[in-house]
Amino acid sequence: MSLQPNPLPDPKLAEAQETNQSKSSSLWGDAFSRIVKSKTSLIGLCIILILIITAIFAPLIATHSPTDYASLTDRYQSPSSEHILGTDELGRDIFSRIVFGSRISIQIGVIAVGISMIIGVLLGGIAGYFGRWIDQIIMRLIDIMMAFPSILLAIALVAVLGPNLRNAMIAVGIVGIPQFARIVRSAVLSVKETEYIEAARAIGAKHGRTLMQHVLPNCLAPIIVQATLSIGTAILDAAGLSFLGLGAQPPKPEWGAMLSDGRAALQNAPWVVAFPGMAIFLVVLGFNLFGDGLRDALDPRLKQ
Amino acid sequence: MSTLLEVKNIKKHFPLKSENLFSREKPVLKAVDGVSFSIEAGETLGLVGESGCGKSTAGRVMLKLLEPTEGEVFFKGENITSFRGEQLRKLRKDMQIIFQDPYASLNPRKTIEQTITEPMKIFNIPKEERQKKLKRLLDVVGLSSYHKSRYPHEFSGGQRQRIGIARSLALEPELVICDEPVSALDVSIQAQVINLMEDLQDEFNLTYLFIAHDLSVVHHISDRVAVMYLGELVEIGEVAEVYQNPKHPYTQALLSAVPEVNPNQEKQRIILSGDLPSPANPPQGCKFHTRCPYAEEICRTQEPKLKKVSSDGQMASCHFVKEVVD
Repeated sequence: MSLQPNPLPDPKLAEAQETNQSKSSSLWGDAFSRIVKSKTSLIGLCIILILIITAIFAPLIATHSPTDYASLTDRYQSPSSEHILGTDELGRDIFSRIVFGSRISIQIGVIAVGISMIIGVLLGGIAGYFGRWIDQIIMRLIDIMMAFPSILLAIALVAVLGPNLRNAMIAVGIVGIPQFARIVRSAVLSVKETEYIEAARAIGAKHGRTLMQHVLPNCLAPIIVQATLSIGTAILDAAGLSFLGLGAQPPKPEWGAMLSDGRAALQNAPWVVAFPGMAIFLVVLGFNLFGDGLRDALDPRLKQ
Repeated sequence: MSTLLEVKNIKKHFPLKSENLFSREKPVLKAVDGVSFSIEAGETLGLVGESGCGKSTAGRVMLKLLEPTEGEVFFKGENITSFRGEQLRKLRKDMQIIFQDPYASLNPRKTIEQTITEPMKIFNIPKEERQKKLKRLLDVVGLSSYHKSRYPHEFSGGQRQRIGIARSLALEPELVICDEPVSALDVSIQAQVINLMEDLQDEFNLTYLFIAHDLSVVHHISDRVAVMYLGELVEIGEVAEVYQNPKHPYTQALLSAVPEVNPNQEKQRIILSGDLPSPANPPQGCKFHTRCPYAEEICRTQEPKLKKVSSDGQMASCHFVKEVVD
C-alpha cells in the first residue's frame, strides 16, 4: 500500500486509468494474493469450486437419476463401470445421488448461514454499538443460547417446528446466531471508538446510518471469515439432523440421510455409507481450509 | 465582533473502575475541570497545553460530541447544553470538527466523494447541488475531481487531512474546532495545511478553535491563545501579549521550550521538574504547585482564580501575579 498516489501528469489519462481499474480496496486485493500463496487455502478454494460446479451441472454429471429405483435387482451393487460408486438398498446410483446431494448441501450452507449471519450481525451490531443495558440483555440471551450444545438445540428446534429440510435449515441457522453475534459485537466495540465514527456523529448522522454505513462495513472481514467457516459446520449439522431423520426426508438425496439409510448394511455394502461420508468430509474440510486461509489473509497484523 | 461560542465552567469527568470492590467512592478522571472562555465570531482561538491536559476533551464537549458533566455551552447566545437528538443534529450544520489523525478520521470503505457528500446527504441537499459543491470543495482544498472515486488509503497524510477539511466545510459551518489538525503531518505539509486553513477562514468567514501543542503553529494562526494545565485554564489572552509577556509560571515554562531560530540568542530555559500529575488524582490547591519553581504554602492549600492581569484582557490564575483592576 503506497501512501503517495502515482504521479499522474495528465488528468484525462488518469481518469481513463481510473475507470479501467477495479474498485476493490487494497484490503481485498492483498487478501486475495495471500490466499493464492497459501497452498492449504487454495486446496479449500478448489474443493468449494468443484462443489459449486457439481451442483450447477448436476444433471450433466450424474450418470443415473438420483431417485429412480427402477431395478430393485441392482440393490447393493459394489462399485463397477455401470455404477461407479455402487448402488444403495433400493438400487439407486450412489454417485448420482451424491452429485445431486451437493445442491442440497449448498442450499443448506447458504440459507442456514444466511439466517445466522443476518440475525447475528444485527444483534451483535446493536449490542456493541449501543452498549449498556441493550448490550447486557442481548448478550445474556446469546449466552443462554450458547449454554446448549448446538446439535441438541437444533434437535429441540426441529422437534418443535416439525422434521423436514426447511425446518432443519432454520434450526441450524438459529444455532449459529451466537457465534456471529459475539464476533460482530467485539469488532463493533473496536470500530466504534475510531475517529471516523466520531466524524459521522459530528456531521449529524443518525444512529442507524452510523451503524449500517460506517460501523458494520468496517467489521466485514471477521464476518466473512465466520460465514465461510460456518458453512462447513452448517452442512455437518444438517447432515447430522438428516441422519437422525429430522432433516431431509426420503427420497431426497441428502448426504446425511444417505448415511443413515446405509448404516444397516455397513458390513456387507460399506460403499453405501463410505462415499456420502467422504463427500461431507471433503466439503467441510474445504470450507474450513478456505475459512482459515481467509482469516489469516484478512488479519491486518500480518500486513507488512 | 459578537460572541459565537461561550463555555461556562464546563467539566468533564470520566468514571474509572473502582479499585476496591467495597469502597463507596467512585473514582473519576477529571479531564476538564471547570473551564470558561468565549470565542468571538471570526477569530481564531488557540488552545494549547501538553498531552493529556484535556484540550481535545474540551473541544468535544463544546461540539456536544461529549456530554459535559457540569457547566453550560452557549452557541450564538443560545444555551445548547441540554440539546438532544434532532435539535443537536440541526446544530451540527453550524459547528464542525477537523480531526488530528488523518489516517483514522476517514472511513476506509468510502470513496472521497461519498465521504465529502455525506454531510450534505444527511441534510437533504439535492443531488445536483451536492455535485456542484463537491467540485468546489475539492477545488478549494487543492484536490482534483478525478480523485473523487478513490479510497482514503490511496492518499498521503496531507491530502487526507485536506479531505477531512473539505468534509467539515461541506455544510458551511460557522465554527470549526480543529483538534491538532497538523500534528500528525510532516513539517513541510503542516505549513501547506495551515495556509490552506487561513485562506479558507477568509473565504468562508470561519471561526476556529485551534487545539494544538505546537506553540509556533498556534502563534502563527491564532488571534488569542488559551493555555490549559490538568483540565484547567491557567492563562488566556492576545497572542502577542501572552507570547511576549507570559504571566503564569506554566506558560513561561512552555514558551521557554520553543526552539529559537537564532542560535546566538541567550535563552533562559525553564525546566519543569516532575511529571504531569494524574488527572484522576490532581493535587490540592493550585494544580501546578507540584512542578512550579515559585510554589509556596498558599499554593498547596488555596486554588487560585483566573484573574485579569493586564489592561488589555490577559488573564492568568496564579497567586503571585498582581490583579489589574480597571
